[in-house]
Amino acid sequence: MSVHLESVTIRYGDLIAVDNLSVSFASGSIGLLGRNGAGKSSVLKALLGLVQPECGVMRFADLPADATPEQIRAYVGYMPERDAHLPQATGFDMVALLGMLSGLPRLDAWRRAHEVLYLVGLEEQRYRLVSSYSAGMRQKVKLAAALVHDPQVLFLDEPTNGLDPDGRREMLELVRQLSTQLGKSIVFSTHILQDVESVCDAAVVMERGRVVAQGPLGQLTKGAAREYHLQVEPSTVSLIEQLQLGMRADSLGDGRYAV
Amino acid sequence: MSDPVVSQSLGISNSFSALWIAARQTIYLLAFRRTLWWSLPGCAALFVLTFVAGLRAPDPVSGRSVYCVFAWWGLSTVVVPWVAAFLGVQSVHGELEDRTSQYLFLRPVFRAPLLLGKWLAVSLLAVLVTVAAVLALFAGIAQHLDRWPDGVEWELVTAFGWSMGLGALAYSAIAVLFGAMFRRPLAWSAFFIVGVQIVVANLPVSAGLRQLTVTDPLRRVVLDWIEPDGRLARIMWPSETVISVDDIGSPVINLAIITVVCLALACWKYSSAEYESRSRD
Repeated sequence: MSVHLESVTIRYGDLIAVDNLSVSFASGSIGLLGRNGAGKSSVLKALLGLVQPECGVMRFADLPADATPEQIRAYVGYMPERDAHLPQATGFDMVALLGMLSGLPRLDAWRRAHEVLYLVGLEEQRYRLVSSYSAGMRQKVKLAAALVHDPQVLFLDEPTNGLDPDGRREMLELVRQLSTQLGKSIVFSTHILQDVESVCDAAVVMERGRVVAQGPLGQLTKGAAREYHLQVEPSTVSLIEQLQLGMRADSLGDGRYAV
Repeated sequence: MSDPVVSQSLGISNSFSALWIAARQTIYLLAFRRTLWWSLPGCAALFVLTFVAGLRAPDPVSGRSVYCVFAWWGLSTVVVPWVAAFLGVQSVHGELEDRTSQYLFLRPVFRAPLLLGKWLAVSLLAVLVTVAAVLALFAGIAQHLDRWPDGVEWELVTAFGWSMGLGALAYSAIAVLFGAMFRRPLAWSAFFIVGVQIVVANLPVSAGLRQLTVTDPLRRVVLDWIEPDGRLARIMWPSETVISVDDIGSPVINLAIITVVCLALACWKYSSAEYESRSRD
């Protein structure tokens, strides 16, 4: 996979979500890192043809330049941040239906649904209603739905959102497995640096709709000083005194310190 | 994991397949909603209505007159438009609002077949409810054999079943359009059904606006089928000054045009609908 965006601007009314963005995503696992509202999801949606950019060029190297959004969505599996489930459907029904909607014949869709639900670890729960799933299981069924038509590329939008530590570990392991064992190219959108560090080879960091850093993770983190923001209530004085014995702590105002 | 198995053809066969899957899924989802199940007590109420009317109507009133009046006023102004409106709005607007439509929008299929599939499902269910209502009304008055001196006229069931079924198709297309287009589609449906239609369908023919309604072509289809006598016709359509089978025109074509235009607009609007309307990153 290789995806190029050049001078892409996405606007929602007066709000500029992505501002003249030029970036490339190479093969492998790429982290798309940034705070909420940085424009990460907008970039993914624009690439999938779900949002129309105001201007700019977007191109998948493996697809024709005039590829339609439908062709792109056949090539890319997208796991949305928000729940997009079918009410009154079991995990199996939902994934099989989405397989059929992706062009699979019924029997192939059933087979693939079983396979991907097994892969994501929902083999025991596949005949339960999705509405009865836990947060972790819902994330997994969304991942299964993104995988059912066997796309070359996966866009994962905040896949660890709302998961407890065990669920998060499981999801990250799953993503790593998809990349290393099944050879999927992955764009992993998140605001959690540790998630990117644990599954990605490279990262693109976004802030306010712009790219502020990009490159291999080793290169991005090399020599970078770690900065932790701690907020301690009601009093920070004794903590700061303790910290100042061995570390540098600078006041940022409003009771916040950079250590 | 197996080898890639997806047929990535996005041609006509895939669109037909998507249409069929969307239709089946919509029927499945609507079957879980209360709206559809209200039609059962509704049909029972219609049966009781014509049965009681058969008991209490003055003696000279025939079963044919009772049935035609109740079927026209009950079905064309209440049952058919409102059933289609509720089902159409729920299946399109409801899914856009609660974001369950995202699962459809993320697939590699065009949106138009998905919407047409929904219309097909809504139409099918609306026609089924309509036919059930036609039969329930008829069953109520058919119990009173004394009001059918020349025998029970079963052809009235065919006449109203056919015409109201056509109406259900057109109203479903309008509901689907409103569902795709407006933020408050039920309010717009109400405005169209009880506002626009009543006003426009009662304008003089010379105004040329009647073809924008469903009621007027439906009236002409019914008129063509049942050919009522002058008294019955005046009860059914009191605002008409001239009721003549010579002025029927091509009501089925009028209904087909309304349906096709509404569906085309709905497909265009649905295809450009925002993927996610409530929140943006």
